[in-house]
Amino acid sequence: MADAVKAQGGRGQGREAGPGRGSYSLAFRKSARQFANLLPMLAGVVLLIGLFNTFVSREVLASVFSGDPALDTLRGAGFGSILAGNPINSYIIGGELLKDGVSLYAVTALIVTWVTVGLVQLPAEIAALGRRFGLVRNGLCFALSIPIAILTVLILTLGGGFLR
Amino acid sequence: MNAGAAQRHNERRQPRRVFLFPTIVLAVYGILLAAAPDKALVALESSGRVLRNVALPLGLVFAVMLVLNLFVKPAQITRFVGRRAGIKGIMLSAGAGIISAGPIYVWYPLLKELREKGAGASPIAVFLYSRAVKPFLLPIMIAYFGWQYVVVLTALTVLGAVALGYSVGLLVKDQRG
Repeated sequence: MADAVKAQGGRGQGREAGPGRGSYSLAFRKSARQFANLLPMLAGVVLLIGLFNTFVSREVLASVFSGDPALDTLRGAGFGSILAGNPINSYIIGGELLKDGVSLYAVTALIVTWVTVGLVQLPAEIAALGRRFGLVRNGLCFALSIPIAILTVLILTLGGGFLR
Repeated sequence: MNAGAAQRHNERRQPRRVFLFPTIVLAVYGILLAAAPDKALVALESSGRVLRNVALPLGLVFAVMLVLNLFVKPAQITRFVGRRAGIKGIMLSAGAGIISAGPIYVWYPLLKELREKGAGASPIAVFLYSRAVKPFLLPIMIAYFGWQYVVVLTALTVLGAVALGYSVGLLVKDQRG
């Protein structure tokens, strides 16, 4: 609290014992209002994830990859950007795709974008952090997933390790 | 229009915008209920499971917001994760992102508040990207892909977070800090 007062240029000196009951009530109401403002968006995101979980199965995903590493990397990044949910799902799907012969480039791009890009959550991100921030951040994360996937596989290949 | 007036203007417009997206999703559910009620119910059940999974992280985020509103002032936010916070701010954001739990969207209310209190776009981008490193899930990832893969990908993800933070800092203007 003392730091907070100092940071505000010394205002409130002599009243540094900590927040009173009124402050707690005010902070609670403020937090609740800030939280409630984004709840409709979060509800929309949760409902949309339910739709994706129902309609995009592992089989559907596997059928999309063609065997061309460059195109598959882009497709992997694309699917990772669209799909949402627990990252464990991306490991499971990635593992299955590897078994099906999909390249590690594509699987890595999918794993990276699964957590870093969120098209499903984009409306909520824009509402919270602004349109420019949401679009720039997601676009850059998508673009960044490609060199990360390529570098990961190259380093592993040069290091003489890994699966394929 | 000054910053305060702009914020009030945005807050007045926000209710309409905030309800647009969930209304569209609900409309899709409405159409699905009429066309394929079984699938619609499966999707609703899946949403219910997602909601149960995010309830705890949401509660945690609310608690952090409460603590921030009680004890942390905008000047402190600006000092630690503001535009000019430098490498310390980036490290702090990356560490917070790595240990943060739950889906990305439960963190939006807190990040919005931090942004309004002066946090820079760059540290927020670093936080969101660093969430790709999941310490608790690393053993599962190692089981699927091997430890060499996990070490290389984790290191590149952290470097990627820093590169992203720098790029977002260049492309997205901060209002203050």
